[in-house]
Amino acid sequence: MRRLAFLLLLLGCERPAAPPAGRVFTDSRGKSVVVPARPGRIVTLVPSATELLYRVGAAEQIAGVTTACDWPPEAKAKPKVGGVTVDLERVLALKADLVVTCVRMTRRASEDLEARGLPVYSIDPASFAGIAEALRRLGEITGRAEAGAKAAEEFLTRAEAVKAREGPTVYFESSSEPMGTTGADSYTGEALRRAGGRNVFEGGWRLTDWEGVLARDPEVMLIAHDRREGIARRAGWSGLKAVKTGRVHFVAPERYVYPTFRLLDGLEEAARLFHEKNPR
Amino acid sequence: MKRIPASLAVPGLVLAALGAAGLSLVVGSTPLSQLSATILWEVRQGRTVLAFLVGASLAASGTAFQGLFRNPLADPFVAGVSGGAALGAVGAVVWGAPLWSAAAWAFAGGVGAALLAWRLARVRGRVPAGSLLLSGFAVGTFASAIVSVLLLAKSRNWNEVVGWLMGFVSDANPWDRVLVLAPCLAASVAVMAWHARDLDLLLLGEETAGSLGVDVEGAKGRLLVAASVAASAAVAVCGIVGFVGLIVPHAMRALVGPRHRGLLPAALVGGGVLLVLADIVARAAVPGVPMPVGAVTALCGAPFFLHLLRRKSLRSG
Repeated sequence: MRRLAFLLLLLGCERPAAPPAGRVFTDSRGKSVVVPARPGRIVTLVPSATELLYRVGAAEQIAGVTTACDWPPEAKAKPKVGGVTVDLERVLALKADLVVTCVRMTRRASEDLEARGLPVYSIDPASFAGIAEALRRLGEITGRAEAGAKAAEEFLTRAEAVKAREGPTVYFESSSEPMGTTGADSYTGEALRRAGGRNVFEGGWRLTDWEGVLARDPEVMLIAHDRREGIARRAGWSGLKAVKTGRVHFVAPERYVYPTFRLLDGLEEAARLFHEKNPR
Repeated sequence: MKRIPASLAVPGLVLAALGAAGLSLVVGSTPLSQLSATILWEVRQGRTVLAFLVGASLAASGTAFQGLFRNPLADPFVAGVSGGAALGAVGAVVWGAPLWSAAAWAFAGGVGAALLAWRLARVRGRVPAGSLLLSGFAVGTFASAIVSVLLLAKSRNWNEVVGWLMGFVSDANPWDRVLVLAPCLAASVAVMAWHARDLDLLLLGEETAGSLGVDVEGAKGRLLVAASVAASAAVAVCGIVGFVGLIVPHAMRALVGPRHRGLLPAALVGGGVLLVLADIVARAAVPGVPMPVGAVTALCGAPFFLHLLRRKSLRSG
């Protein structure tokens, strides 16, 4: 509630003559992070942070990204601070004044950077509302509160434009052997639900065994990885409803696995696939 | 531990294997009331057979390595074979090669790592067992490191990395894997059985073995390849599963004695039983959420290994 009040206060006093130096923001960890008045040398450690910052128009304030940050395409031209691991020296050499990341995914590097006195702001949206909030927060932090609010609005409007009635039972596969999937409790799970899919699994991101999929016999399968070799030779494959009706779809992972605007492409695609008129 | 003649122990282990297989058929994420014939006979039966063969391959490989190196610490992992095989298989998989060719690359990697370690350890035409273990360990660790880098660079999928480095028994395509593994295991076991007496004599020392008529270098080379093929095939279909190749030969040696004619079959069946049981734990620990089988073998393997060490059973090695 206090966070909300704080947010409203910030939204209310938009475009002040000069924002006060060193403002305090609460991040996804619930931690109070002191952010410079207008950060101009932001380093991101996860692709979603990069993409969301571009969306609020903070491209010029980004000083460094990771090799995994490939969207929007112009982000690829930014200096790199690492990929799987983060090169702390590079971050410091870039004279970063703020690090934006998902601390859950980059805990070690985040803690090291905080120990050096760098403010680390964590985003970790788990839902569409969370993505919209992350856009608003990143707008405020970068001194672009209006752009952030507008992007959040745009995101939710486009999401709500997808009006899908309840459709087929769905299995989403993010990795093969061991198989990764998600239930409804993740932003990807929410996208599938909004598209009218009834998820055969519960919970958030998780692993499953193949027999769990066979036992649930989903009507539609979305395969969002590129380990397709041998997939049609899986035990009991030809007996699955989704296979018999031609409703196994190989989809681009990047439309489903990032909590960003690209998830809307996934939502729209899934809504179309779930409500195909004549699936063979 | 009191020794039991192999003629009694092996049938006993076979009975244990049947019991473990039966248990493996009824344990899983699907409630018994919803079991379909597909899940029972294609998924669970395939998975059980695969786990058994992987355990048997690793144990047979470990038995041969321990006899070959006359060193109780030898196993496919320490010899560098597991790491090399994982590198071959993962290299093939990230570039989209089919499973059978991944297996071929795993042999290339596993046998290549073993031969490289052999070559690095060779001093003036001789290969001291201690140096071979050290060079094998270095080569294997190096290969495992490349595996991690390759997977993270090409797939960014931690599940997959863990699956390869900690071992994972597939329940989606088990029969494909059985078809790859079974002939490799059969061929390596045939070579090991052919050299069973040589392995016994090698325990007395290479010079003694040579004076008793063993073609020492020839036998060592063939056994090295056979042990590498068995372990590489296991890694190709299931990732790196640790400890089975180490503890099963020890346990079986304590049970049936050091003679390979009894030890080899006991290790084959014992390794199979161990991995079937470990796989049951891996899938039942959190129902519906698979755990890497290598984590289970390490969890139960390490304390068991220490127990054996304390009982000084290693002396017989």
